[in-house]
Amino acid sequence: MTLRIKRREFLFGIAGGMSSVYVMNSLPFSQLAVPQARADLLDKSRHALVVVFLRGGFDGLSLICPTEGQDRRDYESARPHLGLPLTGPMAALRLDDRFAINSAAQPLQTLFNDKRLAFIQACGLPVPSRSHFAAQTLMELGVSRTGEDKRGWLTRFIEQVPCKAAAVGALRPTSLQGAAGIMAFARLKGLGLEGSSAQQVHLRSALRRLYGEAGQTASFGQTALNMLDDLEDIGLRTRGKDKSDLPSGEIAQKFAITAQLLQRDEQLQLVTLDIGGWDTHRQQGNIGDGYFAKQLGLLSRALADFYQQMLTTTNAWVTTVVMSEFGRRLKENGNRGTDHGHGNLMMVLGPRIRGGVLHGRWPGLANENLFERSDLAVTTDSRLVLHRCLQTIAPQLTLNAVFPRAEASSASELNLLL
Amino acid sequence: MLQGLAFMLQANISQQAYSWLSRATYGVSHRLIESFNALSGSERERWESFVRLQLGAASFVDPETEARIQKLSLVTMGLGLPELWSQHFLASRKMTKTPENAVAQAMTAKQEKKSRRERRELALEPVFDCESAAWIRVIHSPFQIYERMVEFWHDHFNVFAYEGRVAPAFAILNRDVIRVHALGNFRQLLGLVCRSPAMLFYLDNAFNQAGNPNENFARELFELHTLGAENYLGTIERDKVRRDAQNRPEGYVDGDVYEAARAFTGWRVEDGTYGLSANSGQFLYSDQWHDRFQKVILGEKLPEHLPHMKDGENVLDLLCSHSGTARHIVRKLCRRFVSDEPPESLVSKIAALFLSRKDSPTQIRDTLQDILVSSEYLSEKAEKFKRPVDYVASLIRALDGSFEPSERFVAGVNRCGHRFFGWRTPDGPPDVAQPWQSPQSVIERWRLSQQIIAGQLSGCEIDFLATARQASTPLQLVDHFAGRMLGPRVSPSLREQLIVRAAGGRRQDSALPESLLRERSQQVVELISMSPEFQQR
Repeated sequence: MTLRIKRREFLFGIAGGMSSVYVMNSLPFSQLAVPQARADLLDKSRHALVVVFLRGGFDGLSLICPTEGQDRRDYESARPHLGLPLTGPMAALRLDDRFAINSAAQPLQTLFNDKRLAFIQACGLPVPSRSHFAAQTLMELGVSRTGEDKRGWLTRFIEQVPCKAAAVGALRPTSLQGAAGIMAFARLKGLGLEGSSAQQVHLRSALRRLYGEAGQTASFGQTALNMLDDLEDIGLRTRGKDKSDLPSGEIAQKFAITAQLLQRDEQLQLVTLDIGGWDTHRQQGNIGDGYFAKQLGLLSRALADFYQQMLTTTNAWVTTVVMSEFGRRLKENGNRGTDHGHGNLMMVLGPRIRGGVLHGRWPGLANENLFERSDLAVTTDSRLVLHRCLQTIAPQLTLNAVFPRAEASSASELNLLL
Repeated sequence: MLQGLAFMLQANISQQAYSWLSRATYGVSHRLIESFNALSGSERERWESFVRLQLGAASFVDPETEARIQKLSLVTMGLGLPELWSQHFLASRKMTKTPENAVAQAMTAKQEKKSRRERRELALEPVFDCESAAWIRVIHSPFQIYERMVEFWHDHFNVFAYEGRVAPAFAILNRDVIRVHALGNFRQLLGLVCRSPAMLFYLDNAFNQAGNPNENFARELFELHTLGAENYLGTIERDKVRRDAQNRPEGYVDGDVYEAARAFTGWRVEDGTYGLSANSGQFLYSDQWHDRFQKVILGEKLPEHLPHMKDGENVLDLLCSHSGTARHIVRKLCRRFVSDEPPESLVSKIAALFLSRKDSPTQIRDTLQDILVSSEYLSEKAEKFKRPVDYVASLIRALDGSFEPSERFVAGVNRCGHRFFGWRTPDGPPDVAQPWQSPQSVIERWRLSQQIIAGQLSGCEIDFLATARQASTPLQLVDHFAGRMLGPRVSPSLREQLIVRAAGGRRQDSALPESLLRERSQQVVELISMSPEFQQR
């Protein structure tokens, strides 16, 4: 692991207060848990976590469906148009004795069969909310109620275990709220200032002084200047047009940017990535040419490609967790769509994950087992899953260090890591 | 401190008044200061007159600004909804089905891309035109506070407009609803927004039918448009909700949302679907689709079999007379004009006034006026981070740039994460600093300002020599541009850096050769535009 100290880290160390995200993971290399099964593949020197947030309320019940018994009958009667079929060319693909996965997500089935991907059923907030914005905020702050803490869950993690984080997207997500110095990338090539390098050196050093003197309220400027340095350091800043080798389509592009960052920035350990477009109130289209099927297909392929790329082209063990603010109502609405619900599945993908398993307790779809007789109930607090994911970076991390109010009661059941 | 006080060559105004003007507008232009200084009395009195004049204008149509818009030949500007609907949305759909396209198989990938682009351009032309006009207005219109309010309501009643069916209807929402009622009565504005086809499509109420409710619109109506998420009590039982002094439920729960969804069933659009032959894109109330039975919403019983649309109108009345709605709207207004976390004392005081004026035709105007002359607005603590649109507009305005929006210009602002009418989710673009302070967004805005200053964006030009006509030494250049862009108070360290740039090795108090004036001016303006001070309004 390279312990390269860059000039600005040095400066920042003096300025104080901003250093956390630039300091290396404080764990020495020997303490990095390397999964036995894959240790022979590559010499990896760090762990990284990618947090994918599906904005709008991802319909987990259209990714994985029950196949047997009363569950199946309840599912089909609540979703006469949207239910995933078990027969025909679009038949859902088998995962185990009781569940099958949307045929549009075939790459995920392969990862699951290879034991690289795990699903956790019926996750969610301990305090239900069917409001996108309230639920996203609670989820990203990782709190039980509003007002408990204004820092994002990843911010609290960084404060405990200093490591470098970045966001993929133009704006910064709430999960990193309150953290200083977070990079954000909506594109890589073409990002940067105008002017010759000599002009830029002058301009940037003048700006450094101004923002340095302006204090905490202007720390955003220092972060932006650091990011400009970073882009140069990791060799991504190229002048000219934004016509890079990125794939087409927003989903694939965001994963490609994430991959490039993790490949080139050897210190990066946390990346957040937002994908919108899951608020499917009408014409959801779960199979074939349908809207949801297409989105899901793009997401599945991107996840699978990303996994392969991370395994072979980085020096990091990369874990990816996929989450959303809530699941959607069991019963479809009148427009072949679904309204806001409660419990939802989460996905975790990576070489350190006990894959090929549907974790968590499935609460069932019988009316009396639903939350408020309408939505999949929550049996696993999402924060328990997120905590396990963070443990890939910091094995000793306790649940309450990052999620002070979360209760560990069922955590022992969540045997998610190898 | 004398050294830090830039001497103003043209404008005579205190830093305090500069900041009042800056926060209420899209940036302080030379003309704005002149019109401010033409008023009489102390600065405080001039400010109060300024606000009254800005808000009390008989019409907010400025002929000079309109002439600039005319020059852009935006063909959709004067059209009504039926024309926009048929000439843009329906026509773009037909483009896919013309006989020529039967040979689509034979089209090369390039041709197909071109035809897809043409289709998209036709469908979205109405919103592209709204966008161009919005840019002209925020930069050139003298009715700056009014234009800020137009943007405020578009953010509040957010509709993502760059979508085929929505685009034509959006032009009407912009022109005939928001622009007409931006300073009027909230209940009236809300009622018109709720029956605007743009909103009905965007939040799916156009498909909301009895027995098959779609609750997307009803939920956002409560959560975003009226009571706000702060009054959402979650999933608790309705009879457990506490009552306020007027014996109204203190907030709302999911049960209220479900019943409100039923109240708005049948509020749809004449769009040729579901057996409807008419296809005009206009609002339509369908009684067959309406759920006519009893409902209980916010503790009030709505009896069965009410007249057409009465259920929905009753829900809007209930929401608008709730103190939670007044607080939500007023807090957002204060957030826009005062600071990210406005003092609760101000919110309470103004919310009570807002509620007491709920039937007044000038409710919004009067409320805004109260905010703008409040001691909290005038306080030195009040400060806002410029959003990307604010940032670019203020740069051009401060330097009296000539301006017409170009594709590259709009794309540059879009890269900062901001675009008129282009926010996808119904919460609208954020009005607090932190999301916009993302380094990606900051780098993109700095770069955009560099491109504007260097004259690289067509339609957008700054005449540095004319602007700096009376300045010739490095010191004068610095004080001139800092005064225009930041007001009279400039931090000593910024001024020092600027002087170094302006002098470039020469004496700071002797005239620069003509050949250097332009370049040095650009360098000074570049650094000011990227300075911490210029990111705030």
